[in-house]
This record gives sequence, C-alpha cells and structure tokens, in this order.
Amino acid sequence: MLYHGIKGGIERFCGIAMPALVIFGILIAARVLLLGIPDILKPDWNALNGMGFLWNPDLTMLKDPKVWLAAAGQIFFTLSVGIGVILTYASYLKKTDDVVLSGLTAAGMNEFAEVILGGSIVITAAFVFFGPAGAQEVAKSGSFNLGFVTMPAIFGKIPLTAVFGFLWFMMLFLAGVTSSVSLAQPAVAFLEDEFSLSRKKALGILTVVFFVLCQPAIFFLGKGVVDEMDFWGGTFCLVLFATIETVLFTWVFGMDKAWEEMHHGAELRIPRAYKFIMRYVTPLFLLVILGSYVLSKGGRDRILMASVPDADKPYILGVRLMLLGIIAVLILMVRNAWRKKQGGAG
Amino acid sequence: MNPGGWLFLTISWSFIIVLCVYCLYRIFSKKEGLD
Repeated sequence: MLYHGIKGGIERFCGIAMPALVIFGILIAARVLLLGIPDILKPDWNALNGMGFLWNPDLTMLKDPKVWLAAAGQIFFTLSVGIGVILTYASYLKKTDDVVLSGLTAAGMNEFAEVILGGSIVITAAFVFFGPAGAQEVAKSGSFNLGFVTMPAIFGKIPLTAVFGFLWFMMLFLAGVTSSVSLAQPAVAFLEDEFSLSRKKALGILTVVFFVLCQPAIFFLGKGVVDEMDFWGGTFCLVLFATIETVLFTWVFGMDKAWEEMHHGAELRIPRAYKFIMRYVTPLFLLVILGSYVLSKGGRDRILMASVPDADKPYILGVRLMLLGIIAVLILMVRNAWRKKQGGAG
Repeated sequence: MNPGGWLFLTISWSFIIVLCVYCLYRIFSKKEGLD
C-alpha cells in the first residue's frame, strides 16, 4: 500500500476500507443495542443501562488531571494531530484545496465512528453480559483485552457468533491497517524527500526498523510494555507535540498568515473568535493540562514508576530509554537534513 | 440511564449527526457544482 503512494495505495485502500468499517460498525452497534435482557435473573443488565454506564455524568472526575490528559491524547490520536500524519497529508494538498471543510468533515466523521459507534459497542456489550462491576474491570483492562478477549467472549454468547466475530475482527483489521499506513507515511515521505531515497529503499529500511522496534511489545506484553508505550507515545507526547505545533503555527508562523492560509479556497469562514482561541486559549489550556498532570500524584506516580511491580521496572525503564533513543535519532536526522538543505541553498 | 446521561447522549449524538450531514452535504453539493 505504502509502495503505491498516497493516491494509488492509501487513498484507494481507504476508499473501500473506510465505508466498510462504518457499515460493519453500524451492524455491530445495532446488534449490541438490541441485545435486550440476556439473563432474566438480572433485568438491570441491559443495553440501556449499559449506555447509562458510559453516559451518566460523574462531574467529580473533572478534578482528575489524568482524565483531561487522556481526553486530549485521545482526540489528538484519532485526528492524527501531533504525530506528523496530518502535516504529511496536508503537504500533498493544493493551495486552493478547502482545508476548512475537509478538517471539519474529518473531525465529524471521526466523532461519529468513535463516540456513536465505538461508544455503543464494547462497554455497552460488556455491561449487558458482565454487569456494572465486570464492565468496570473490562474498561480498566486496556484496549488490547477489550478487542481481543472481551469482545470474542461476548460474541460467543449470542447467536451468529461466527458472523459477528468476522465483522468485529475485520473492522479491527481495517481500522488497524488504515491507521498504520497513515502513521508510517510521514517516515516514508521524510526519507524520500530529505535523504533522496527511492520509495522501495525507504520502505525496506522502515520495515526492518518497525520489525525490530515492535518486538518488545510482543515479547513483554505482560510486563506492561505496551501500556507504557501507549501512554508516552499515544497520550503524553501527543499532547506535548500538539502544544508545540499550536505555538509554532500561531506564534512563530503567525496568526494572520495562518488565518489567510486556512481560508485559501475555503467556502466556509471560521468564526473570528477562533483567532483568539487558537492563539491564546488552546496553548494555555494544553500547557495547564500537561502541567497539572505532571504535578499531580497520579502523574508523579507514573513518572516515578510507583505502581510498577519491581520485577517489571527494568522493562519499563527499557521502553523509556528506547523511546528517548528514537527521539534522539529523529532529532539528529532532522538536523542533518536541515544542514544538507542549508548547504544546498548556500 | 439517568436524565443527565440522556442529556449528554442527546446533545452529543445530535451535534455529531448534524455536523456529519452538513459536511457531507457541503462536500457533495460542491462536487456537483464543479461538474
């Protein structure tokens, strides 16, 4: 897919995969919402209360900085902000392409998939079959267990197990592949553009790098390695990098220039209040989220590995060193590419 | 589900569905305009 590029590979695949993913999601969500009361001895374990488990507000949780960080990390991850994906895709747009409508549509469809479809499936189904305590355990068990342990167990309890099992795993596969190619594309484009490598060569190098770097996640899953990678790579650093991107875009590049760029070819006008929001509110809000998390007890415990069993600490430390190593290598590569460019220009 | 849950669900789902319909309408009406 990556070998065939953005248009011939990623776009062609996503053109089929994304509608299929939405259709599978609608079918599974409809099945879950129509589960009724599977156990007549437990009439409270039904889909409506399952939705309540997810939607009944508990405003005291808003005091927990971890919740704010997780929410910010989640939205940046699903919108591919802070990991270079949107920047890479945006670099292929024409100057007159409508980024306002495209951005709004991407955000809307993303929310449809994750809030309406995603929010109706896993936790609701877990509540119907395992009750409130079971659903809480399931929610805490992490995304890997949710997808590969809980959902198959639930499908085993309903008719047409094979059909819904197929739809579920096909949906996970499509979601995983479409995300993976998007995540790999910035690296491919970087090697191609900055080091003048052919796409074949760039993909060959990255295949080896990805293969080596994913081994700890496979062999040390039980040691908390995936959770640690997910926290730093998929939550904390996303919020950190998105904060840096916001500052660069609105302060270094300049708000007026940014505003003009956004509206090139756009039919919709962004309300002017967003100039103020993007320049002042967003970076400040993100900095407050990051700062309050780092200073909170939960944040300090995470950083100091307070809740990690002693036997797992070397693995967690290893993950952190690996992530720092990746960042250091990337900084060096960017510096070399920059120098090469400056030399070429001079 | 308590009334607070219904309120959050209704507001969120309505907002998302209206946003998606509006965006898709704008995209397809734009494409037709170009043809």
